[in-house]
Amino acid sequence: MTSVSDTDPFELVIRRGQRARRYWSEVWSFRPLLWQLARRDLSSKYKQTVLGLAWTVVHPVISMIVLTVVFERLAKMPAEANVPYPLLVFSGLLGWQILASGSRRASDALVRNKSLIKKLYFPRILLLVQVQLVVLFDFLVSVAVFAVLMGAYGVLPDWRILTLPLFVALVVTTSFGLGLWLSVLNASYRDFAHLVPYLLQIGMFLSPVGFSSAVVPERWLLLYSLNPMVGVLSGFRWALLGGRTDLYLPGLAMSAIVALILMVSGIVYFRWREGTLADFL
Amino acid sequence: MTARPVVEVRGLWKAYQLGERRTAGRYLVAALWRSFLATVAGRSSDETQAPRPFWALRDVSFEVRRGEVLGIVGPNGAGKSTLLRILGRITDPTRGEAVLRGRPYCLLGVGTGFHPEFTGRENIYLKGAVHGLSRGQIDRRFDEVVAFAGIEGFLDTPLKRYSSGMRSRLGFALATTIDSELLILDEVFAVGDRRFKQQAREHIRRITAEAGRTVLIVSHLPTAIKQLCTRAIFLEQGRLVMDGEVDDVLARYLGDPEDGAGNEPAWRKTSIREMPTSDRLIAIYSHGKSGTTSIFRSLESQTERPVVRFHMLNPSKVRTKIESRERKGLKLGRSLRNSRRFSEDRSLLAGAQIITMIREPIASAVSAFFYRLAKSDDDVFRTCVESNDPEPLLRKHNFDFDEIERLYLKWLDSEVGATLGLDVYHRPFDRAQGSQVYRQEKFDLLVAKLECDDRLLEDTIRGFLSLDAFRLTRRNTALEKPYHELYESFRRRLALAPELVHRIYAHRSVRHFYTDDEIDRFIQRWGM
Repeated sequence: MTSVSDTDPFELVIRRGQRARRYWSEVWSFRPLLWQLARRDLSSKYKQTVLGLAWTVVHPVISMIVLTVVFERLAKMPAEANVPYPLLVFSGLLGWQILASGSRRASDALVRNKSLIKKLYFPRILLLVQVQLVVLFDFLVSVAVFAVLMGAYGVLPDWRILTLPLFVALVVTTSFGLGLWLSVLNASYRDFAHLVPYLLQIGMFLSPVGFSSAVVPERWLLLYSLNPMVGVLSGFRWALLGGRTDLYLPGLAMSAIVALILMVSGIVYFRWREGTLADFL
Repeated sequence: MTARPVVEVRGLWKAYQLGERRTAGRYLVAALWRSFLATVAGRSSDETQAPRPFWALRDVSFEVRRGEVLGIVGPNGAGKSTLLRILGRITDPTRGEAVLRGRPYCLLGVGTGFHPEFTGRENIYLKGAVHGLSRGQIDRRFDEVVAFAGIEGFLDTPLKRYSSGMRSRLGFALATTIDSELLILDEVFAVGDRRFKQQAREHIRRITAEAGRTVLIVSHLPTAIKQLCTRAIFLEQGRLVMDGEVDDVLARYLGDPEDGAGNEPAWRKTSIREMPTSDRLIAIYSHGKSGTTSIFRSLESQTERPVVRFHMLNPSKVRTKIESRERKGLKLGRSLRNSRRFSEDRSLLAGAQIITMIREPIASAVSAFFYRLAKSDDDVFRTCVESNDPEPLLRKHNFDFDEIERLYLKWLDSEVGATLGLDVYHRPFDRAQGSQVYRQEKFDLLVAKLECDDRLLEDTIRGFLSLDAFRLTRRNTALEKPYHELYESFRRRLALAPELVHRIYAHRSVRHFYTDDEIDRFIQRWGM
């Protein structure tokens, strides 16, 4: 047992909304907890289910096949020059899955961990950061699958692939922002848990996942880019497919602005509600 | 130099929103309805029901100095746990502030604060991480924690499979191993065997004595508070009502005569066989309109023993009822206040002799129907009484299976079964005698039919309570009410749908207690 010296500067003021001061440095000091939560989530996913890794691989492949059949064969959507349709779809799915599984997991992140929230203090936002970490890990697995697929089609990336982290950052921003909103809303009103899968399903058809944003007339493209996933997915394709598709810069800027607004508002809302979350769970 | 207090609480308030706030749909509908009323019906919005806050803490202030062990006592719902949750930063106060000059370690509730899906090992690292320890720092103390908790064989078992004693030991082991200047403990002595409890208390004594650590303890066990604490505060209904010497505060807490009978320390004795009969509580615990007023009043006037009466003990039902009355701005009656007290602390019933009256459901429903009408001063009802014509009432009533099921048919399951843990339906019942006594470890229960002959009922109750004499004076019956004649003609002319009647009397809560002859008579009375 260490004894406490009289000069110990530790002083904690508990007041409504007191978390405002030195918030991020506190979050940073809790990173051991973050690693622990993320490691636990990943190990339960990949160790404890026999097909853990296989699921992460199979899931996007099946989505790719379905979307290719629906959009290329049935809807006769045009592919962009020299890009095999399955690759077009898969590159879109890579980005989409970060958002979809990120917001799905985020929406019940607080409810799922209520036994911790109600009994332990830690910055609650860690639970949302952790979701993004887990989703990014899944993303890396999918990228490996995509690399194999590209090799099979003989499509090679060029220097543009170095810009991919930028687009990943953009989709994580979107997913994190959305997740912050959904997690708190779901804590207060549990029906959000039922709503999210539907919203995501609709969102997938409203976003250029199964088709290229090139099918949208150019004069509508800026408006369409209000959906931040438009910028994200065009960016993913541009970076991964070696510039065989176009990148519409004003649209990308628009998407980035919307994503930032989503994240900043999400953080503000989350921090406003964070102090009394335990009362709602 | 005089050190500043380790804990300084200044004017702390905490509000909770009462009522359902769970579904956006309902919330939306309620909001729309309010604005509809406000605009169309021209009613101002403050007339309508906005969710009202419930103040769990009201202006609580106190200080704790280094090395003090502060006991926090008070009845359930006094705000003790809310206070600790705020100090543990689980939730923010609504107003006021608290200053902690020392890193707190919280153990809130019995062996909780763990992740149920994580293994014991993972939980140790998790707790360490929450308290800012790196993996290496935890590694160094790992064996000490495991040894104290005695969980060597279960390190890789998910915590949800631990016994509550194991969970509690683990929590305690961590609390005493992780360095913190301020230990906040909520009901940690409630589980664990005698040896563990002794060990835990020993540990707290050592920590406070050797390292000058400060400890805040909430416990229902007066002995724990007495042994460990150097000072105590008493909370009641969210207010701090006393701050002082442990003995004084405990004396007030244990002897607090909140309203009449109910808190006599003698009942807290758990071994009821040692308890003199004259000390045992008599509780009348039945569904509504089952003739308990007569028994209650008769007992009250004929015995020195404490007698209480209530209709509910199931905490969630009690809470719903209280909330709905509070929302309507109505006062809680004596029976409901009793429900609250006994459902919050069921140990008050230790040693009690409980009487549960049963009455056939349709008679109860009819009786409740009249009772409500008379109480609400209903216009139709008044003209009916004056003209002695039951016709309008025969049109007005709508006895409905679901409601009768909820109020009467299921009562034994949701109350006696769920709260006293006694499944009467799986025990014999003497239908001819009309009553049965069930002797349990912690209480005795008499179940008796109201339809019994009065003399028989008197004998039964006298025998059950070991009274020298007992005479039943009928009270609160229709006979003494101004609407007596109306009631009788209503009863004679009421004809319920045969399906409803048959469905009700086919229910096991009727079949179990009444003979076929009795049931046939009920069917004839209400169904023809």
